[in-house]
Amino acid sequence: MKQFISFVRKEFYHIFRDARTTMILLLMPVILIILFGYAITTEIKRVPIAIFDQSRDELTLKMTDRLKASEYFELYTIVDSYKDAQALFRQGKVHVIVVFPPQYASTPDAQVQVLADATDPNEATQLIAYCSAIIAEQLRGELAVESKAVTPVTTLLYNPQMKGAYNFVPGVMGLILILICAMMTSIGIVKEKEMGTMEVLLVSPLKPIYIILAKAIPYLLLSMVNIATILLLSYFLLDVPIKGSLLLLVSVSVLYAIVSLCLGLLISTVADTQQAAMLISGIALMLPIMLLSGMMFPIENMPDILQWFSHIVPAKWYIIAVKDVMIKGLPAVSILKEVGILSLMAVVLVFLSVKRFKIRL
Amino acid sequence: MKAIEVKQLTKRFGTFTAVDHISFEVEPGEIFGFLGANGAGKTTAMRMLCGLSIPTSGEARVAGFDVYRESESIKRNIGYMSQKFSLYGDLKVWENIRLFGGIYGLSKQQLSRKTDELLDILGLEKERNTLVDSLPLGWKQKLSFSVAIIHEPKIVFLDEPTGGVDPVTRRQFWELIYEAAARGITVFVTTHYMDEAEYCNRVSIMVDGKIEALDSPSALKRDFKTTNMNQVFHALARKATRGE
Repeated sequence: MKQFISFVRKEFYHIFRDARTTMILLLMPVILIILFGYAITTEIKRVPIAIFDQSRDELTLKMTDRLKASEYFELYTIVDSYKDAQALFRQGKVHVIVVFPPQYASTPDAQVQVLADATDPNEATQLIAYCSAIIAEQLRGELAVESKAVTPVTTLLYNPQMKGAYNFVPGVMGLILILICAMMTSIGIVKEKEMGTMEVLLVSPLKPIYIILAKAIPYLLLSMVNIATILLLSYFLLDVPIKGSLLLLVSVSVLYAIVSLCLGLLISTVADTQQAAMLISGIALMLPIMLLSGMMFPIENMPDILQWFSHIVPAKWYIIAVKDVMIKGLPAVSILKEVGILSLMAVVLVFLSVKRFKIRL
Repeated sequence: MKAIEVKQLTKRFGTFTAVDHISFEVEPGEIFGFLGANGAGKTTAMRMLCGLSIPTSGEARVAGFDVYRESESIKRNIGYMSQKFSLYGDLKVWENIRLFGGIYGLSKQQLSRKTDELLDILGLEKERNTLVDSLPLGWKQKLSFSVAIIHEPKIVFLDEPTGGVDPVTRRQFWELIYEAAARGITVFVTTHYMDEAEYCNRVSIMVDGKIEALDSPSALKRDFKTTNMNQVFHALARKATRGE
């Protein structure tokens, strides 16, 4: 035990002596949260819009006002011809153009045309939906008496304001934990191999399992500091609530951190240089998390093969569990499946990497 | 009891035989030089003796313990200094000493006494709080050797311990080795510097995985009718068919 403690102490020296890396590790969650919270956002806000109003009656003017007043759109200009409208599109000045037909108010089955720039299909879909909703609402107000159409009442559960933060905060947690635990652990172990100190340790009476544990513990603690940073920032800065049990949230995070540590350990048995370790963690871990964890792109829309592949990305299960606990406020029972899968992954990875680590002796 | 006893020790990697049926014995307190060109199999042989690698066949006992079954006991009775640098550059001198002392289970009192003693012998008292990275290579190597024997092992294995330093610094390093040997520590050292070979009690020369010669430096020089170890080594190494 004394051996072990002197060894853990050494790992902390390594981390804190390398001030630059430590700063990066501590600041990274802050930067990611601010970036995702304020800069990189998929929310629609003040999108430039142009209106081609061929009728200019009371109704279309009201609709124009409504569009102008909405926080989603900003009126770029009123155009007088299709040609002008298309020119604006080509120059990229506007993303949406609303066309009102002549004599709109007096024509019973007249229709409003909404043109959207679909180079970004997701944005275009959202813009059209918002635009139609605003127009439909105005129309309903005007024709309230005559309208017999069924109007659906929608309620957005868990995230009524449709804030992006509710989605990316769990994503960033998944990303940071992998980054610290897997990447830094693998680099730390491979560094000892590269420097030749690993041999000296293996010749010593220190058990290999202690060497591994001593490497993992400091990064586990560091990653918990990061989780705390993320939760504090998202709670106070981005107003993301923590609806469920904090203890449960932290427990799931520790479990996921352990899975990440095992991944890092596995990588360290494969990689021979620090660069290789960094590259493998970058490509084999970061990319799947960004693309296949559901953090940025919905998994449901992916081809079957990618959906299958996404099942083996630990971050996917962690992010689901975090959303369930943090955003929906669900109890432990509801994330049993995710916890089970993550635990299974941890066991398999521990088995694989300890086996591989032994072979190296 | 012999310090090291090796009989027909062999290590194969697939079809490649890195170490081919070598046999030798090392007496307690002896300084045994393990020579060979790069790729001759010295490091592989040494790794087997340290318990880092399991032999394919043959027998070996280190400090009386069997390399197959008792590697844990071997580890407690040996010290090891690797070819690459064995200390942590981002740790201070005394932190390195404390770390390795701690790994070998030294008590607090033993540690502080050993640390003072060691820094005194090496003349490093002023550098106690210096990061090891900023020490000159020769000092690092001496410190590294002293740390490798901090727990007074029965045998210390040195894998090309003086790579990259000048003959004067090597000579100083060897004074430490002599002191350790005088205290009864058996020294097993690989090298390809022939001036170092002269310092050993006995040397073995490995060529292509086999031990081609084993005797005291003076006897070897007599047998090969030359005046220096360099010519002995070249006469043998010329037969090598393995490249690097």
